[in-house]
Amino acid sequence: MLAHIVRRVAQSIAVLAAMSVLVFAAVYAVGNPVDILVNPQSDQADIARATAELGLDRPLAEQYWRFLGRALRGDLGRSFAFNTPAIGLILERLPATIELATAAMLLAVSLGLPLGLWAGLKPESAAGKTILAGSTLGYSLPTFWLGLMLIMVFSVWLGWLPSSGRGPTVDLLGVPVSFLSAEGLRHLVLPATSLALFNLALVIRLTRDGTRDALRQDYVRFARAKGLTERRIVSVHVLGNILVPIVTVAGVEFGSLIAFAVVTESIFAWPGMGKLLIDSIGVLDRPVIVGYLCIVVTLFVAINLCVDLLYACLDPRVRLEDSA
Amino acid sequence: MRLARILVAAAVLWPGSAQTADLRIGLAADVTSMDPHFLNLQPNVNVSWHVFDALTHVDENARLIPGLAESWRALDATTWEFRLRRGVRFHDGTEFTAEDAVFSIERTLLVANGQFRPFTQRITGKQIVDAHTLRLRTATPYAMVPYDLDSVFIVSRKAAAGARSEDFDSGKAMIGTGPFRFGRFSRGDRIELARNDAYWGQKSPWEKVVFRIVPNDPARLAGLLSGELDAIEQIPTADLPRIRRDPGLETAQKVSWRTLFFHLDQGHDRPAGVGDKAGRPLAKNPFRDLRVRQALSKAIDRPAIAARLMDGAALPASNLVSPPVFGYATDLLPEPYDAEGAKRLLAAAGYPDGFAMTLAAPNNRYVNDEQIAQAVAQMLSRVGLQVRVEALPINTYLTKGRKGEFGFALLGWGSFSGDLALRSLVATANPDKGFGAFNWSGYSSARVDELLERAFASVEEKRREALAREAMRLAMRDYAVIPLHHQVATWAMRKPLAYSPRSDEFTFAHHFRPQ
Repeated sequence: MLAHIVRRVAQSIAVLAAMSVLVFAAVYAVGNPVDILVNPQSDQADIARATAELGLDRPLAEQYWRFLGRALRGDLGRSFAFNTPAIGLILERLPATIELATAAMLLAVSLGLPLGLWAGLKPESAAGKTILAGSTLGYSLPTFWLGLMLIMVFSVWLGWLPSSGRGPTVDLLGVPVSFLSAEGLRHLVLPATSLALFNLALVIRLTRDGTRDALRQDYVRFARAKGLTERRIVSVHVLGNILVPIVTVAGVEFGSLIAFAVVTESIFAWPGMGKLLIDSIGVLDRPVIVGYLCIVVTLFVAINLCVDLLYACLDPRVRLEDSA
Repeated sequence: MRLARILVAAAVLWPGSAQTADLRIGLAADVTSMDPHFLNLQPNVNVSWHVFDALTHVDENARLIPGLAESWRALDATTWEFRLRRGVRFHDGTEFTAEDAVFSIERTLLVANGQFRPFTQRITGKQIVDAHTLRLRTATPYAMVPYDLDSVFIVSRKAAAGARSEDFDSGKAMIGTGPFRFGRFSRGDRIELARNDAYWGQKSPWEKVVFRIVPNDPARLAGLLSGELDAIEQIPTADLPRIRRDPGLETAQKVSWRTLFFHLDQGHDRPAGVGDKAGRPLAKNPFRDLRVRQALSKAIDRPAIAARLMDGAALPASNLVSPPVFGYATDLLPEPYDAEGAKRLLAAAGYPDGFAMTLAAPNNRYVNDEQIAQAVAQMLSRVGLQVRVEALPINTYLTKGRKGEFGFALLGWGSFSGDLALRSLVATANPDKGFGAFNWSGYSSARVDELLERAFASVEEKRREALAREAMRLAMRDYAVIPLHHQVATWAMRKPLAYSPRSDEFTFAHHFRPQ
């Protein structure tokens, strides 16, 4: 177990190093942030001074070396556009994104599992067919279109829910969260629904197919023959066996939700990390871009590790050894 | 029936959100910092204007008016005297004096990567005559001092001593003399302000103001339609007709100071993307021929672009600054569309069959920028040119443009005065004089340069404006660049609100009035 974790951490450090070199070079190739941030009334000397103040006049290798030196001390540099430490900027926006992604994931799993089970147990029923058709729709609707439609219907026509923003936040252990106040929850509903839909469809599909597979397995037939109740068969034998792939996918998807909630965050003006990343790419704010990706890679590694550990709990055959 | 009852109950429990003396405004771009001396970006400066004042202000026509300075005059060619307003208090109750003005000017030079330095670095001497009289000296005659000071926000010397940008973000140093007190800055989300009841100028009708950051265009409009926002800025031109039809909404429009034009590279022997139709380089740079530049200008149907592509939210341009701005030459008229004339000029210049060129444009900066590029490319192809459009995001575009990688490129510019615009865009590139920093055209005219130098040295306004106009005339008649149009800025608000729209495109909460 411990060896497994250590190896994972070592791998992730290598990934971080490679990623930072790539991003550094890529941002450098795209353009010079000074050209965007500079005062239009500047003359050539002003532009040269701004370039030097940001250290962008040095050779790329030297810039990277200096970044690395500071990064190892936990300093990812100051944002060119926000004039505050990049790491603080990202961490300040992290709770909003995690809250949104968690809400979306909870929605997807809590609705997706029962619906998928239903569709799997009664595939020929009208409900089963409707659920399946609905999940196909959930796959194929583009997020930005869905978001705008939700806003159109629930904010503009019906006027029930706010169209954008995060609303008031309440501090929970020093972290600002929305879900503890009614107003905050109202702001959370539309973006979370919009973000959840794809994963809802995914969980429905996985559960349905898994259920249908499991129902054909010998252990379910034996359980039936043994005279167990349908309830026990479904909750213990079917569900217990199909959870492993669902947990895997949900884990990976949760990472993606955090890293790439960009579209939803933009449409709903949700002040999360995704929006920060897009804004930062827009002005080539390299410290924020690199810092964001470092944090996301770290999050992915952590989530994958959690998924591995969950496997071991869910499936006693899995052993987290070097050979695993 | 039961469902209907539940829905009604839900609607009652969750009302759209009715407000009283508050104003909620949707901003189109992110505000990156509260520090008024850090980046000179429109959204940041917009917020600064609510909390702070400057010594000089500009009115809705971008003309200079008194601010914290009641009056100013040039004592001699290099000394300016400003008489400061008496009895003005900062939000914390301390009195505003010349000490605060000097502190603020000096702070613009200290902020790391601060972009307000260009407005203050020419000031070489600061003399506090008394608490309400300030003298500023420049090394050489420099007429722009009062204009430049419009961009220098006056912070409290007491609150902002040693303050970093973070101290402004947190509100600790956000003590100004402006119409609003700072409430809260929630990055990427909102800025909250409260009325300054002791404001020296016209007080805000609104007790509380919330600026919400909603960069997504449809979402911003949805916020207005659903009643969560009372007013929004930057209406996409395609949505204009729909908003005008809505009986509950009002719009306000004003010709913006932002002017779109084309740079054409006359500096390099072989401008990028220009060649014959088989892709071979041309014997000489066609843009160096006045007839070619004029032909390109005649081939562009400006009224069609303004009416159809921009839904009327553009004004065909003949100048590099828009009509209300200082130094606008009224006798210049937009080039009439004349495709036949363009063909004749091209033939006379030795290109009867035209040539091939690349038209570069940003695709996320100006209103409908990429569509404009496509439309102009089509118009140019009608007179025999073979035009390829290269549309790029602004972050790549500006870097490439400054490196001289475009032969024919769209750019937009907003200036307080014609001579300033010409200095950056058309004056011969000269780092020592600070001329031509954005002269991608590589244009050079000794006469224009000389007029500009004389304009900047003329502390007498009328004389300076005459010189600025003359320089504009020369540059435009020589087709140094090809002006396209001035943008028209649009605001939309819920009735019965009204807004006095501004050329500088700022969205001022205190200028919204309940009718």
